[in-house]
Amino acid sequence: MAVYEQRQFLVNATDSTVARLRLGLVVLTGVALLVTGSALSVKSFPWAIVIAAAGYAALHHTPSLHKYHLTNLARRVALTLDLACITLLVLVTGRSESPLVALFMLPLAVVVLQHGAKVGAYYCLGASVLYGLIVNLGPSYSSAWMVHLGLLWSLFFVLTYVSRAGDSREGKARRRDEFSALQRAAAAPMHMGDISTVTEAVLAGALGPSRCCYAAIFLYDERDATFTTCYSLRSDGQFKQAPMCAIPSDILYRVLYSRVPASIPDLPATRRSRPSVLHQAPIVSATLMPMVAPGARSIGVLCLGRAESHRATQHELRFANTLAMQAATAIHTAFLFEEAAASEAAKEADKLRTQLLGTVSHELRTPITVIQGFASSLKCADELNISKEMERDWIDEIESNAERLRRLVTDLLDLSRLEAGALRMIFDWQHMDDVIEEQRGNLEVLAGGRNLIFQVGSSLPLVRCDGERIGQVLRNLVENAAKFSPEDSDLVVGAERTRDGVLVGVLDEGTGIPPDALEKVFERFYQVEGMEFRPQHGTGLGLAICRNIIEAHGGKIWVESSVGQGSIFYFTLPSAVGRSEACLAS
Amino acid sequence: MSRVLIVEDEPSILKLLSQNLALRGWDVVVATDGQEGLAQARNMYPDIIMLDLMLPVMSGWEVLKHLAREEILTYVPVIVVTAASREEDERRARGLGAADYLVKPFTITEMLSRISALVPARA
Repeated sequence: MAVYEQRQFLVNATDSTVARLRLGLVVLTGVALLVTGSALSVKSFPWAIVIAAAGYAALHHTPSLHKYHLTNLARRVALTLDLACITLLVLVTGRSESPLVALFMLPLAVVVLQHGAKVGAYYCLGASVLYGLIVNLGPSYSSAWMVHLGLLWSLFFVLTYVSRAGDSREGKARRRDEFSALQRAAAAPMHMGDISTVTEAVLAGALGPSRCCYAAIFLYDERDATFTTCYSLRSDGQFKQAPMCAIPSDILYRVLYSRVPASIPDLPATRRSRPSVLHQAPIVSATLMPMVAPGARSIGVLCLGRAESHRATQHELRFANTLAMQAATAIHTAFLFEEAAASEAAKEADKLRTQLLGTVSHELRTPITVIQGFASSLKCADELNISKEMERDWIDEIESNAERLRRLVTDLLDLSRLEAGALRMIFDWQHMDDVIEEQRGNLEVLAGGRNLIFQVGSSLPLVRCDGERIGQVLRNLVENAAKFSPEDSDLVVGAERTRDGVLVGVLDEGTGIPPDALEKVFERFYQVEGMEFRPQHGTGLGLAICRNIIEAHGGKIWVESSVGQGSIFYFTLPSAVGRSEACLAS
Repeated sequence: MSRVLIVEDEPSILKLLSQNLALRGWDVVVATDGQEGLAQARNMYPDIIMLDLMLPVMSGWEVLKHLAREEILTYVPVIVVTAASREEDERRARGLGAADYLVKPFTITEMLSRISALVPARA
C-alpha cells in the first residue's frame, strides 16, 4: 500500500512538473516571438495567433486543471491542438520562403503519426540542429532564424512532454494493474479457501501487469525440504497443478535458500540454471522470487516468465518481489485455514465421542449399581432381618436391571453395526400386512393392556424389506407409544398404500412431544426435557435404531405430535411397483 | 433418628438406597428431581443429602450451587452419587462444596462407610 501511494505521488509530481515546464516554455516562446516580431515589424495577424496560443496553453495546463479536470480524451485533444497551434505559428511566421516549413511540416506529421511523439521530438531536435547549420553556414541568411529556432525548440519540448505524458499514462495504467494484482493476492484467502484457488488468483493477477506469458508458483514443503507442487498459469488462461520433482541443484533451491531473487534473461543460454524444472516451461527468460511467509517460513518460489529473452528492470523486480511477499502470506493463510478447519473438525468429532462415551457409561453404570447393590444387600439379608417379599422384590430388581443391561448392550451393538453399515439386511419381497400380522402377538404384549387397534389396508403393495428388522421397528414404536401413554388409552397401528410404496403409522394418546424435540427424538440417548416420568426400561437407543433401519430400506421415518394430545410415528417403505411407476413418470 | 434426603431420579437406585438406609435405622426422605430435592433440603434440614447429578427439572449441579448459596451446605454434608466418573467432575463438585463423591457403581458397604465418616455420631 505504502509503495503504491509513493508511486502515485511521484506520477502526479512528474505530470504537474512537466505541465509547468511546458507552460513556461510556451509562454517564453510567445514572449520571444513578440520581441522578435516587434523587432522585425511583423504584421498583426501572427501576433494574434501567438497570444491566442500562449493563452490557450496557460488555460489548459494550469496544474490543478491538469490534475483534476482533464480526462484522457480531453488531454489528447488538447495536445493535438497544441501541436496544430504551434505548427500554424511556424507556418505564419516562417512564411513560405522559410526553409523551416519544408524541413518539418509534412515529415513531422508523418513521423509523429507513425512513430509517436518521442520520435517527433527527436526529429525536432535534429531539424533544429540542421536548421541552425543552414542559417549559419548557408548563403541565404534570414534575420528570422532566431524565431524559427525558438519555435523548433518549443516544439521539441512539447513533443517530449507529449511522449512523457503518454508514458506516464501507460505507467499509471500498469501501476493500477499491479496494485490490483497485489490487492487480489492479499485478498485471495479471504474469499476463497483452498490453496489451489488462492494460487490461481495470485497467478492471474501476476500475468496482467507484468506482460509475462507464464507465471508459476513452486510450492515448497519445509518438513521434507523439497518442492512438492507446481501451479502454473499461461497467458491463454490454462491453469495447471502438477506434482513436481526438482533435483537439489535446481536454481529454485538456490533462490529459496539464499532468499535472493534471480533474473535469468536467457534460459537456454545460461549454464548456471541448467538443468532446471524451468526448462520444461514454455519460457525463455524468467524472474524468480523467493516466497517467505510470516515467521520466516519458506513457502516456495514465484516465477514470472516470458517467451522472449528479457532482462528484468528494477521496477519489474520490485513488483515481483512485492507480489511474491503478498502471495506467500496469502498461501500461508490458506494453509493455516486448512489446518484450523481440520483440527476444528477433529475436535468436534472428539467432543461428540466423549459425550457419547459419557452417556453410554452412565447408562451402563446405573443398572450395574442396582444389580451390585441389591446383590450385596441380599448377602446380608439375615443381619438386616428383611421380609420375604422384599427379598423377592430385590431379586426382581436384579433381574430386570440385568435385562436392561442386556438390552442396552444389544442395542448399542445393533446401532453401531447399523451406523457402520455392517448389519446385513436380509431383503425379501413381502406384503406389509403379513409383516404386521406376524408381529401382532408381540405388539399386544408390548402394549401392556392398552387398547391396541390394527387398521391395515387391504391392498398393500409388495415391499422389499427385512421382515425381522421392520418387525423390530414396529415393536420399538409400539413399546415407545405404550411407555408414554396412560393405561387404557388407545394405540393404533395403521398401514396404507401410497403412490410409491407403503406408509405405516403408530398412534398413541400419550404425553406428546414438544415441537423442538420432534427431530431430536431420533438421536441417541435423547430424552425429552420435562417429561413427567423417565421410562425405566428404555435404552434411549430404540428410535435411533428405527431410523437407521428405515433409512437402510430407502424409507423415511418422522413423527407428528402435539403436547398432551399424543403422537403419531410414521415410516414409509418404497415399493417395487411404486418405484417403477416413478421411473416411468420421470 | 438421623434423617437422610435422597435426591435420585432412577427408581431402582432410589429403591436400593432408601431401603438399605431405612433398614439400618435412618429416617429416609426422597426426591425425584432437583427442584423437589432443594425444597426438601430447605424444609427439613436433613443430617445428610445423597445427591445425583443428572436430574430432571434442575440438575444436581444447580442444586449444589443453591445449597451452597443458602449456606445449607455449612450444616448438611452432601454426598454426590453419580455415574460421572471423570476427575474434573469430582473436582468441580468438591469445589462447589460437596463433602464426598461416590461414583456408580458402588457397593452398599462403601456407601455406608462414606456416610458414617460424615455423620459419625448418629450412624
